[in-house]
Amino acid sequence: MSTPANIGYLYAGILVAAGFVFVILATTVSGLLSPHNPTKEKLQTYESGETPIGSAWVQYPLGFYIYALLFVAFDVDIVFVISWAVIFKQLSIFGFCEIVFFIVVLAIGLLYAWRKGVTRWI
Amino acid sequence: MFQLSDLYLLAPEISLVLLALVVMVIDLFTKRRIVIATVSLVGLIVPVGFVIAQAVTYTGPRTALFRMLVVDQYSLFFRVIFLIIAAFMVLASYNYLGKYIKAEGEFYVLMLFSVVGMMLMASTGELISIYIALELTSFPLYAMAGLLRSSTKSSEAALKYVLLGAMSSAILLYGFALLYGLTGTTDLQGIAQSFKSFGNGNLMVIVADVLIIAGFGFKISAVPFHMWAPDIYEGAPTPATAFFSVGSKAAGFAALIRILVYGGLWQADLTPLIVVLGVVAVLTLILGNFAAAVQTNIKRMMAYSSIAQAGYILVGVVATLTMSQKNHTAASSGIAAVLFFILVYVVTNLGAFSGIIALSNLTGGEKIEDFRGLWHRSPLLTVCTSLCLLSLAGIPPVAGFFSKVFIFTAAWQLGQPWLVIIALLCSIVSIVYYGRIIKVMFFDAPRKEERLVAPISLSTTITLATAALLVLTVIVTVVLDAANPAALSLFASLLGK
Amino acid sequence: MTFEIVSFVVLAVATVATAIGVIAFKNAIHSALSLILTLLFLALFYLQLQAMFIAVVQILIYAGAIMVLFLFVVTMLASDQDELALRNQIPWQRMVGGLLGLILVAALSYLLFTGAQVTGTTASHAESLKQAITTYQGDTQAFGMALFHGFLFPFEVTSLLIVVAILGALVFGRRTN
Repeated sequence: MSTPANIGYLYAGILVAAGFVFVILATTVSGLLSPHNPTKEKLQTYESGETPIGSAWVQYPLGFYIYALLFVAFDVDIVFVISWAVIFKQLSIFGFCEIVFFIVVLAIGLLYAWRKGVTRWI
Repeated sequence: MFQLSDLYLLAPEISLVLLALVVMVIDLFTKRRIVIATVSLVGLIVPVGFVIAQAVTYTGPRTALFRMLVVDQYSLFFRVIFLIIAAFMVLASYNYLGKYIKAEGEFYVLMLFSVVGMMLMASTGELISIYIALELTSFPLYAMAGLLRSSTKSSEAALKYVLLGAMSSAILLYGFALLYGLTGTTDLQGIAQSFKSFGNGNLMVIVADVLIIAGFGFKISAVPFHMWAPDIYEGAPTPATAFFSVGSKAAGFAALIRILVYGGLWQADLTPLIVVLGVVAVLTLILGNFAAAVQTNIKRMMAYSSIAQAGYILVGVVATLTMSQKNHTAASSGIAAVLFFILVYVVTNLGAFSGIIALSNLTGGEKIEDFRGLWHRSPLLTVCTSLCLLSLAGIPPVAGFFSKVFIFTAAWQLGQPWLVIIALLCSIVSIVYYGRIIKVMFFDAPRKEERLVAPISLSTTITLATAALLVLTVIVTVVLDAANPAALSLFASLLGK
Repeated sequence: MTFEIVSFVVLAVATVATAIGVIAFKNAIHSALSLILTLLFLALFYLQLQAMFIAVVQILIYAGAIMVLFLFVVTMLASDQDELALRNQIPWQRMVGGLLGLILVAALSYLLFTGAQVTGTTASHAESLKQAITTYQGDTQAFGMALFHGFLFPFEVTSLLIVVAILGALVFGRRTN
């Protein structure tokens, strides 16, 4: 693991660990230092001054789910584009045509979804 | 490795993809069903033209795009079948869509994409491509099953289809992964080459094959992987059901035979595999036919009938596999019979389903008793539907009779007399339930007296299907002349070396 | 070497702990978050095996996209959670699940301790993969070369597959009226 190629992982690992430590430290320390005397009003969910009614666990409209599905579709797309981008030079014009076809087809799909009114839901 | 001429070999699929994209764009700008349907139908001329051009200028099997694509007579034969399905579907679904489904554009686009997948399934010679093509075939089917948004049965059908489809794909992929692990390549020709060196009775080969057969078993609804079929056929919109029953099945068989034969799996000793396939075939025949006999809903009956038909095809496949090692030419006669059977089945089932769509559209019921006395109310539709049903039952002199005879004689000659006897007994049972519908339509008293007038597109479809059936009956030898070299072409790459 | 072993043990413990969390938490959201952590730790395993590309895909697709879907489903169904907990009582479910799990563990350990040696053709394939990675200076590059050269056909068909998936989502998401 000490080869130069992998040394970057070490830095990334240190960063991740530091992130965890920071979050844990910040929450525990503030929990220890802050005064603690709750009342009913303080524990209530803050809804911009309104009194919250019912549970926050409501069923969300299906429209959101389509957004999620579209997101997944284009997230998968990213994987292909990354692997294309790293060897862009070697592939030259041929690879460019391939990815253009790929993205144009996806764009038509997105255009279709957009025109069919996925983005409106009222 | 990549040449522009490769694109010509892929031209039917490419033009079909472009057609689907064009239909998508048109659907955005017009609400009129007639425009979308016309564009779909007229646009089909381009891929048909390319397939005909390729068939006429055919010189020998060719591979393209890094050997992913295989254009031989076998793939051309199936491309023709799938384009026939597409054309029939556009016509047959037209009225139903307007009446029940408010998503014509989506239906046609999904259908076209699915047909692209089917054509690719028949003409790819590489495992990953076959898998992607299979998913391209299946995804639209899942969506089509759920197109009836107001019906809970339709939603249930779609959900069941997605879950079981995903599971079968996983099983199939497991089989593919084992094949890749064994041979180190996903290219079917490469697999065929390395199978030459495999000793007999390699356990992993059997396991991989059984997994692959199980995966495709779902797509072709062979027992014991059939249980999705009746529910989904019943719940889905009727045109979609027609599409499942012919498209998914033909494509499943196309890819399965391609892997088993072109992939050279027959070179290892596959006795256990043949036993497994034989048992599957027998179960499929028995359960399909006997369950169909007791159904009251006509769509459920057609579901079990299509399961039974898969059984007959499996008989042909088993017979071919047993013989492949000893005699390629003889073995290919089994595949030729299977190809002919699939073609006839596709045309007949589409005809029968268009008849059912029309009649249940007009009477408003899907129970067999709703079809009482239709002979008095709509003679043309009744006669055409009955002809198709007779052909499914295998009554002479319709094409269905010949297709069954070919499969049975081929299987008999290839040394599977027991399978043939069981299949024969089962087809006697099938006469009972097909005959019952015909009896109900012709001899029972009608519930109402008024005449039924079928919409023009549906009566065109069913007349066309019946006409195609009759033409097939007349030109049996011509079709066989095309099917025989198609079957042989599967062995060509291995024999050439 | 020791660093690898230490990091492996730490990761293994963390992964198993979060995986247990997925089935142990009563709240579905907590389970989902725990699953994200499990998937992230798996990505770190891939990194440790120097499979950078698979690690990235694991984070992008599994910890990202798939988990978004999970969370959306949870929020869509969350309103009748209590009911769900009551209904989910198939008596033999736990027993069969446990049995299947045991069989899996047994089969995998059998393979691990006896049969799973990389030999013959398999070894040469693994060797050729290694070769490709050194030639193209990285596994992402090697994957790209394979995808855009040999496997360009399934790659292009994948774009159609994604479009069909979008269409399917539209069909099911459509309002019923």
